[in-house]
Amino acid sequence: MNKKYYDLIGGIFLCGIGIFVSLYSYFHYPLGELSEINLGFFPTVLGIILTLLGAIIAVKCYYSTYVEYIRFNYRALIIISLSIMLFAVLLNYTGVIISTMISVITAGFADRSTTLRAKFIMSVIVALIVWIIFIKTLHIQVLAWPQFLL
Amino acid sequence: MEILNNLLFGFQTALTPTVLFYCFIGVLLGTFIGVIPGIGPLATISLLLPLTYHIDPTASLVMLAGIYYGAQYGGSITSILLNIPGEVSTSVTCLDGYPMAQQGRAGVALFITAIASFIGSLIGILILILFAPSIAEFGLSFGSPEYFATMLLGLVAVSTVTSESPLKGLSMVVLGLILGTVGIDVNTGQSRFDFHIPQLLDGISLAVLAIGMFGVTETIRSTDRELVSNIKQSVNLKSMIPTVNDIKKSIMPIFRGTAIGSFFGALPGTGPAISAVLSYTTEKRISKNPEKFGHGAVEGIVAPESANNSATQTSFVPTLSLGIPGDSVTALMLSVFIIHGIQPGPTLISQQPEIFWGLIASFIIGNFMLLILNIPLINVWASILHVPYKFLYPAILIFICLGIYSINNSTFDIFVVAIIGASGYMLNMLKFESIPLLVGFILGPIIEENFRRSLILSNGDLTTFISRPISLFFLITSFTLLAWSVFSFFKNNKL
Repeated sequence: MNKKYYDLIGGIFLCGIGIFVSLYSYFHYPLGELSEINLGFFPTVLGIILTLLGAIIAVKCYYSTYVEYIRFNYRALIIISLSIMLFAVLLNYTGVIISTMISVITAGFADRSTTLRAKFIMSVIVALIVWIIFIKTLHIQVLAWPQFLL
Repeated sequence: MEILNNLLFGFQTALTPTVLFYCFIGVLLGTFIGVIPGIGPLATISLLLPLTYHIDPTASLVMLAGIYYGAQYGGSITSILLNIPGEVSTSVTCLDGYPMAQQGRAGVALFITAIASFIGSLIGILILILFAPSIAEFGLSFGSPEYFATMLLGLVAVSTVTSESPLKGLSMVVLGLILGTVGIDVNTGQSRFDFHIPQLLDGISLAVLAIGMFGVTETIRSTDRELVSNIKQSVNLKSMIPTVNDIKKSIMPIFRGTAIGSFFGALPGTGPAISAVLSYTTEKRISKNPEKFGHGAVEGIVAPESANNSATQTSFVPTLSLGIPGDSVTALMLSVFIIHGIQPGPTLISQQPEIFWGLIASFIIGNFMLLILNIPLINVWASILHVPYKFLYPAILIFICLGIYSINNSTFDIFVVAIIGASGYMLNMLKFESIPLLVGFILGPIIEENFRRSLILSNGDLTTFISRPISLFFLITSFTLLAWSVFSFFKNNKL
């Protein structure tokens, strides 16, 4: 897709956030007067400004003749976000070591060229480093191994 | 002389084993991440923020600062050997550094950029010593309206100067300001935008936002990157000695670069990257043989390197003297102050002299350490570049996750990091820069507080911002800068 239309999307997205923020804060938080500014003033004004900026960006894209194609790396985006969330979910159930290894292997899929064996070796190495730095040296408050194994 | 006394006092603090240790870690880590493309001081400092909660404030600041200026040294190594910028601020070093390496002069290039960086840093530190205390005294006359106006200038500068499009930069600043309103409001004790999620009562954690926007986003962006060095020559000490001609040609560019860097580094909103670019362009324009640039001209590497190092040092001038960040990295470091309960501002130098002078002394020590690290150890750093990135990034991700977890023992935070990272990636791909968002987020609560306080003090009178001369000056400058960038982008039809 041409970059122009991405600008349109970006502009509309920002507009949306701006409208949401300004309306939400206008109706939920007291605005106060100029001599006694209250909660809602800043977010409302900011929301309005953001809406304006978003609108200008969105509209301006129609006048732009700038052509550039953007290539999103969807694979990396989804896999990396997923591996982080996976870590968050697994951490309290399976302990650091196992969630580290699973997350590393998952994250490894973002790069097409790593073999499964390489991923596994990486996961072991990273788990080892994590063990040395975070558990032994820094003593973070988290289970190293799953509860049922302890 | 009073300055010498203060410096001695600073060395007393800086030469204690703890501070020395953290200084060394900082510059070592800084060089390391400077060498690796993609990870920069911003991401690293964000990652280490949780750690600094437990360490003495002076030591934390010394370490973080060491990372900052250390990265400027390390980045040039990658730029020269790989033609890939190790750091944003060393991008222009590729232009003449890589050709020099191709001509077999990699050693000279590496040596002379280290020296240029060193000189730039030292002069920047000198300016810091000479000007920060006086600016702090001047800053004591700052009231809330002045703070508001100056920070507004910083926000405008960050959005217009660093982005390709001032409109997009501004919108990111505003988005950052909005994100900063989440949480309990200091004046009224009520919370905003928490949507009944208890973890949001304290607002979005800065570390989470910073690590998400710079660590995770960068990791996503870099996964397809290969790190293979084409320069197979090993750089030994003998090959590093520059010719007399090289030295003669470098002297003036180093000083010009330092001048440009010192000036722009001290301005809020501009930092090492812009200084480096401006310095390169200046050298090319003043040069008698501009066609030599791009083919291994020594002037083309020493000037930007002195510029980015002096800018890094002088970015501490407004930060330490006024509490106004010189650029995004120092904005992050300001939050370290706040976390430890130290109030940044004009009173910092007078009330906590051990922090200010200790920092300065550690800068001097750190730069000497870096000179030693960067010259004999260059081969070590160069060998890092042979590790394919695909083996590094999973480790980085896990460090991110654990670092975030260690702040609040909360897996919710890790989720938020993933979401912010994904959103940040999409925003970046749409050419919306992350730095304005970060600076807006950090300065938001402070700016809002100053705005409200000004209005309370003036009883609702908005003209208080215009009737006070300093505040008026900064407001006019902000407006002019904004108008000028919008106008000039309009002319180029690239808003």
